[in-house]
Amino acid sequence: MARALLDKMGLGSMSQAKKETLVQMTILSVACLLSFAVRLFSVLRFESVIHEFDPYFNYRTTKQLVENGYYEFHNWFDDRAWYPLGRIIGGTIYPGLMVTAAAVYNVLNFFNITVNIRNVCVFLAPLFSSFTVLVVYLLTKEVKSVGAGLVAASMIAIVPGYISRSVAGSYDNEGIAIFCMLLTYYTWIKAAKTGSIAWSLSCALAYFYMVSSWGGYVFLINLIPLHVLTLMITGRFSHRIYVAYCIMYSVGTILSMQIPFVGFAPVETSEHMAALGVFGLCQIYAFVTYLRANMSPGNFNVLFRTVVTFALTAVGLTFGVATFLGKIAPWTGRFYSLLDPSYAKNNIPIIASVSEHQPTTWASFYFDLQLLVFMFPVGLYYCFRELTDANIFVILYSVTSIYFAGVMVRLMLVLAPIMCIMSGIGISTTLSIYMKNIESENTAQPQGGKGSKKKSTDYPIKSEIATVIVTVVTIFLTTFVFHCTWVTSEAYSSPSIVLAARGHDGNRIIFDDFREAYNWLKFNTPENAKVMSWWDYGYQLTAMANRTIIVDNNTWNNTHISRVGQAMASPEDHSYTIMKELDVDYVLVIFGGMSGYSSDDINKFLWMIRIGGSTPEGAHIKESDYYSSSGEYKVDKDASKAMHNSLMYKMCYYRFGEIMTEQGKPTGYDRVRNQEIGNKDFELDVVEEAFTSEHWIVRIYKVKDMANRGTQ
Amino acid sequence: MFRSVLFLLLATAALCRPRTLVVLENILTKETHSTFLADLASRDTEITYKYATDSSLAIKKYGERLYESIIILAPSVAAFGNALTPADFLDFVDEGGNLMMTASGSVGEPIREIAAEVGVEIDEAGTTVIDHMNYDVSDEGDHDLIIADEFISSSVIVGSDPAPVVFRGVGMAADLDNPLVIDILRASPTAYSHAPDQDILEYPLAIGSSVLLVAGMQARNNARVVILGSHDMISDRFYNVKAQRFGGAAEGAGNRAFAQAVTDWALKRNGDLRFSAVKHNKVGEEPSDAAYRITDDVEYSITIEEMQNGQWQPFQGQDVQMEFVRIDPFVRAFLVPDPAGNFKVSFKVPDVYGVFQFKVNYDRTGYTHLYSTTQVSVRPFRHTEYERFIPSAYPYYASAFSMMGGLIVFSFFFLYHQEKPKTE
Repeated sequence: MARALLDKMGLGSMSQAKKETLVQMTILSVACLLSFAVRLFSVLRFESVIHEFDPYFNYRTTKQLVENGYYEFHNWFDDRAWYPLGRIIGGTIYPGLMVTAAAVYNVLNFFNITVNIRNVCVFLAPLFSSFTVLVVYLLTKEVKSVGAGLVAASMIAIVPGYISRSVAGSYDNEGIAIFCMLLTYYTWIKAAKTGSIAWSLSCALAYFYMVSSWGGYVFLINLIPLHVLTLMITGRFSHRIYVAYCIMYSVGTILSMQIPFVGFAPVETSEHMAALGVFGLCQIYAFVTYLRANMSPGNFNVLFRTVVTFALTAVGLTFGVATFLGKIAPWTGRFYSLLDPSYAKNNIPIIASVSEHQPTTWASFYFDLQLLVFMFPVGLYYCFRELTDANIFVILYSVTSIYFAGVMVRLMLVLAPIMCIMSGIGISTTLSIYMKNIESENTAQPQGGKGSKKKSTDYPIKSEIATVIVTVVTIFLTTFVFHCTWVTSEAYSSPSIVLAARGHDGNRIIFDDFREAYNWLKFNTPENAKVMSWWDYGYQLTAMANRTIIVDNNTWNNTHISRVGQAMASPEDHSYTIMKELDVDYVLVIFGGMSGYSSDDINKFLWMIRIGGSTPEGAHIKESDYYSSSGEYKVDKDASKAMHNSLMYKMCYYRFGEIMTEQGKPTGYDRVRNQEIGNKDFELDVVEEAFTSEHWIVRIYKVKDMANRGTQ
Repeated sequence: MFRSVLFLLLATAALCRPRTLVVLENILTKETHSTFLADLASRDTEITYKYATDSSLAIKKYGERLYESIIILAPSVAAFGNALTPADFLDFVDEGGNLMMTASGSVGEPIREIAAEVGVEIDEAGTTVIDHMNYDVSDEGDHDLIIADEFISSSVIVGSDPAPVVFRGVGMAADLDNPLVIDILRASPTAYSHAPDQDILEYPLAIGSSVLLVAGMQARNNARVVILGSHDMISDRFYNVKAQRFGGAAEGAGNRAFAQAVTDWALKRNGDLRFSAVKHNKVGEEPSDAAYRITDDVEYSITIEEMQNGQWQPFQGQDVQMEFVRIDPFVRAFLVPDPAGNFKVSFKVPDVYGVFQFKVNYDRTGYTHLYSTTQVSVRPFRHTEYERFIPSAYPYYASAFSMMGGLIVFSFFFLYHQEKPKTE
């Protein structure tokens, strides 16, 4: 077939190598195109909008970068966020994403291709996923073969685990960080294989790009030392590795310290100590090898023992003293929760409250990876079959990332590429083994006995088994494509700023309440009005409504968030003092009881209570007070008094008791919690309703002034 | 031409003069309180007289207040004319109008209601303030013509060194939850509020010093309300009482001076403050919209004027403070006035970035609550504003450069030095 096609196109006269290149190029280009196209569901279905929460902040900063130049961006002190603390944007973000987008924008505009900066942002993630396809191909090619590379590249193009963070509009760090990470791995493997300074430097540069774009670089700077250490233990350490690692680490570390947000962390925090330790170990190892080559074995052993004992004691003491003096920063909470899944839940409510920090369920492994879950061990097996320096690296990568992905659902993103690489290796090797067997019937058989040894591995119905296996793999691969497309379309292409639901007659109903409300704020409130909301909506509020907010998604100050949690969870009069203290003018709540939108503030309320109660000022807020007498989290008549009197409850359910939401149900029937609310008839004392969106999803309240004559 | 200009001038003058409505109980009030009304008329104000039940009584027209102040000398009115309700008068206060009114033993429902809404409870009808120790010699036996001298210590409200006043009327009690009520005149510790001819079976509304004789309230919008517990205390008759305590010497009633002072206060002719020209800038620079940097030296100035006897004068208070606030005040400094009432302070911005407010919150009894906030941002250093070389880091610079030098020397050595072959 293919040959006929090639002949027809007049390419039949090409040499075998050229044909192979052509096929590879075709497959790769198609994979790249596909990876871009499959991420456009949301743009086609809704419009070219930025999605979710964090991307809005990234978009806002990118705009600042494009409009005012790099230095203004670098020194940007944002007085609209975290009122009244403010936030130094330049020093608290990874600028890689914004700089990349701005660079793309400037290049395009230089050539007079006038693309709106918003569109650059929207389409940046799909663009980089195309690049990722190429890098995965190169990486797998280095590790295994061209065939495995092509399979892996095709898979990474459509794997849902990666699409979930890189659809058009999902303008987030992860969108480019996966590309950077794989690029760093590729250059590292190249450097480790060749021992060339050029590749090591490229690796350091790729690492710098990675550091500038995502906090997940910590995974990388631990994985590469781990690789070096493993090679050392398995006796594979060589001058190549020595050159590669020393250059990569020293240049990479100096470069990474140029990112203001990273600063001195690479030489101070525990997360980076493994890399430093391995760097030191490399020097010792090399020195010891040098000594051993130049000394008699007896002398060497004596020297070796003394030095090792002395060194271990010194290192232990230094580490202990440094930690005690606080020179080495204690392990940060996020990292602890990686190692011990229950750590965050028990200690840091603000980390546990984020749904993407929750442990991964088995179902979501299958949902995000499908076929790869089964093919992964196959690939792992083939990697173990022929160990090389590069193979060891991917094995380490796969083992560590599968652990981390199990701890935190967000890290599925790190797992997805290696799953593709491993499955690519697995599928490619399987197919190339059995394909041969099918062919052996047609072509190899006539050639007859190649030798008695070959004959001995023969078994009956070899060709049939091969056919079955190839068919099964083909079916699996086909279902994988369908699954990926379905998941992308159904689960990962919702902008979450515009909601869609199916009506009774199957029509798509669009809820555009968020933008409606943000625009209301933008056009109806004073320019420097302060809006209080739960932190989830902070980025959107600053970006779309351009109003000052109290807390946002950059959850750097637990006390401040806790203060807002207290305001939401306390009774009105207490909330009022907190709101006055923070100069709040408007309060915004998200309410789903009318429309059935389940991730609303009442469902998040428990976190507000927990976070609010986690600081000394909020000691009066106890989680148990908000449960009904039977210990359930309810909003109906059984709900506790604290629940009924909390500002959040009142703001969400104000006037809701008059509304009929579903037929056959009493008024004030909450469609998310499926309960009839318990407190229907109440008035608000300290706030007044200012705006309620069409489907009641966003409700905005204005904080009243103090009573003029002293009495409420 | 000249006439029209004159007319215009007059019209403007008339417009500028504060307008006061005096609501009288009946035609007799003009007689009994003639001195008070004459004193009122002698002030630079435009006065309109109306009877409480007059059907043309109006305080608003087209949504605008018709008067700056209202004085109600109609304690026992049962219902105002033109269907005016207490709520109308309270709205008047909420819109910034001042209100002064008298009560008496037979106080009417509207007055009682207005009083209750501003945080003052008037005792039941028929009660009166009784003091068996401090009554005037002309008392008729109920000991309810009392002499009171427990004035609030604020010369802005009661004038300096007020003489004791003669009082006969109803007692009042302040709402403890309302922080805005001002106890202008309290009864002596031996007084109590009760009906004189009844046995005391229940605890009275108030006794001793908690009995208010004259109560004031300054609302949050700085509108002022004064309630006199006695309609008689500002009458001609009481102005002329000798005020001789039983068993003491005649002191001469201070009623007239007291009434003058309290009226001046209520009409905002005294103790009214206003500010203007809030300016802040870096020392030696013009004011600008740019954010301040941490550790900048900043100047702040504000001009405050005080109303004294109907004239705006530069305010000369020595205790005005400016705070530089980000939730908590980081700087709190006294503002120093010059003779023109310009208050100034200069200070160093703290080494903390964020959104700060210059806040002047001057709240003194009797004075308008002066509150001014100006929001500014304080940014951290830009990347070019740090010191390039830190003295304490010189060892590190030295080590870095020596390392570089060493590397170059070593490289040269390594590349161009050749060991002599040992085989020779």
